[in-house]
Amino acid sequence: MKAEILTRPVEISLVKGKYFLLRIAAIVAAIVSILAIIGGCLAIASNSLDVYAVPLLFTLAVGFTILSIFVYRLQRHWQFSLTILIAAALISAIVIGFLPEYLQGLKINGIIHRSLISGLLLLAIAIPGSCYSLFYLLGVTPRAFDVSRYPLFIFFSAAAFTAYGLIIFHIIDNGASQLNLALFTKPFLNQTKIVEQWYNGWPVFSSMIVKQVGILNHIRGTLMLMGLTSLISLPIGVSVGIVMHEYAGPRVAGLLHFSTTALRSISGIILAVTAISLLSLPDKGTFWYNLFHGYGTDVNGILQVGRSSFLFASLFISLLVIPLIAKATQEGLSSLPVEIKEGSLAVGASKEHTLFHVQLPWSTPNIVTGLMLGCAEAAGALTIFFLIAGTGQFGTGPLNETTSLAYLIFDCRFGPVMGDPIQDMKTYQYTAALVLLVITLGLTVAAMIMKKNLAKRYKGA
Amino acid sequence: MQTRVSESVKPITPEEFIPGGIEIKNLEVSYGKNAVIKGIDIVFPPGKVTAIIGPSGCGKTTLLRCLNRLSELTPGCRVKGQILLDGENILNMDPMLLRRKVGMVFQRANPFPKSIKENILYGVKAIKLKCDHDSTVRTCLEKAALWEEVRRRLNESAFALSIGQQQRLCIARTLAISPEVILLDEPAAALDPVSTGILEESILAMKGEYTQIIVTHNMNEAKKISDYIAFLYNGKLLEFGETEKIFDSPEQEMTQQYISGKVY
Repeated sequence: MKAEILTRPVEISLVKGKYFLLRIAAIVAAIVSILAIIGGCLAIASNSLDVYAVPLLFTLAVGFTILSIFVYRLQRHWQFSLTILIAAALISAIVIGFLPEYLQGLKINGIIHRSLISGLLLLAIAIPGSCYSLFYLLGVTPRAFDVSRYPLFIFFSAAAFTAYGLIIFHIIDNGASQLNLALFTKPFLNQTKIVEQWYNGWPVFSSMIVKQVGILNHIRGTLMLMGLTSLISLPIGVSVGIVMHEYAGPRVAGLLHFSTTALRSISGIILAVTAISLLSLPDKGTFWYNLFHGYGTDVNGILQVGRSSFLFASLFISLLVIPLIAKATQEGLSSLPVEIKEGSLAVGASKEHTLFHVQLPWSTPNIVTGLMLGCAEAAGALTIFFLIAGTGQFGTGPLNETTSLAYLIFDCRFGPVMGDPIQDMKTYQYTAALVLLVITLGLTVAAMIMKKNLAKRYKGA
Repeated sequence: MQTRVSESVKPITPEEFIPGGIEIKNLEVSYGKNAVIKGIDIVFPPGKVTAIIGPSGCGKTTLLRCLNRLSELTPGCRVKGQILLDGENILNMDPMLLRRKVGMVFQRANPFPKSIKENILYGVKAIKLKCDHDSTVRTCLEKAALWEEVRRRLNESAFALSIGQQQRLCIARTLAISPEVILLDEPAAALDPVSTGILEESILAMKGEYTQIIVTHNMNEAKKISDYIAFLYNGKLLEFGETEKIFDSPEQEMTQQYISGKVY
């Protein structure tokens, strides 16, 4: 049937009798299809807009009927696919009309709202429908046949963008309303202060709860984690990448390649369990115990040992970041044309001089991108922090207790560590998410700009 | 001195000695089990242009890459025999010291992703040669016939130049470390006729100062610029002699056929 249509191309004309009417019919069908796609997306997203599904499906059926009548008048041939679509629209309209509002059972442990099914049906009928109407709108040519397939994949990318947009909007909407400057200038505190008072020459000790709402220590902690992780993983990652590309024989290179890939695929929670068992190795009170666990002084000036130090946590996150940077370095090195490397060797430069003055500058954009991805990883890593992070209220130096915004968001919600969770902090979880989003998005944008500039500088492109 | 002069080359007296003579004795090169060069004896006279011609895959480029030991970069490449540069076997030399004496220009222009000036000074800086940078840049570019075109944009990226200019920049870059020998591996393969003409002019201008060995597929080019011609066939040296002699009355029938385009 497709071939038949293609062998009879129709000249496009906006004014001549039946073609004009065909285009009008196609426009109507296209508009209704697009409305149906939007309605379907909204129905899936909102879980409640199912009331529009039945009238939309009936309108779709009418639109497709008009279209297929005009196609018949033009080609003396019923468009079979359109007929199926009409039938499908009518049947689904009836099915949705008779569905109960909530579906239960059906081997699925849960309740499904009717809008989910109606949304899916709307999409399943409207997406091919929009393809067909676009096809007849463009004038039944081979090119129109290709172009009319655009909705099939444009829809999915649009859906992905919509999902991201909704998430970001949700965070900004909830987070921005709680923004205030005091949040960024004060660290979070929840400690008990021992106050010494004198009564009639006798010391009397009373306790006082010191509470302070703020995310300064978490922001500092995130930046500290990113910095420490970069410091640890950049030299190691770049070296591994260089060894993988330049010095290792095929067997060692293959082993390194496998190791880096395997390291990336390790689940974070396994690393976290490893970290926990490492944390319990040293005896309590020893130097290594304090170093691993992180320490700081509280409001009373007493040494407090936390769950794990920034240094320790960064080491573990580096395990995830080193493979990223190694891969990026290797890719950068192998993207250099071999003639340029040989050209450097041919003027008498040593292998190391070539590496540092030609090959590494060339791969700088790749390395920077890898590093930025690694920083985002460090900022967003949560699976490890479930088990080893703390509040960071005893300071944010490399040896203090780890904390990060990602952990704060988790803690605000489920708060096992803040102990008696401060109710005030709960309202700031979206603000923390917003700050984290700004930091990671900022990193991504910075990475893109730096990559462009570095590529211009070192690749002359 | 006598050992470096074969019968087809006019003998030179010690007063006329120019450094850069290369003598190859029984050279065999193989990649894994695949022998590419099967025993070659040849003398490249100093200060002259020698063209290596021959059908594709006969080992021209391999021979050339052996002369500055870039062949070592190819995994599985084995070199046997002797290559004497001014009487010293280069296979026992430090490759970095060797490559200071033997420069190379590649088939595809390969400037570094740096400015024009940095491209020329790259070798000088890499081997820590002491010289006046500005005058080196100028002399090298003048010798490569590029100075007039780029004198006002020395700090621009080398990638902004045309391919022909890039290739001449590569020649200038090679000249900056004042080598004795320059190897040219089909330098004009990717160039238009005008750029090829300028390139050939600069090769002719460098004659006498440097020993030049050029691999080429272009018979007219070989005839125009070379003093001697070596004809390689299937990993062996079939004929070596002065250009006029090779083109007018070659000894081997195969040479005659190749030059007239009958053997591929």
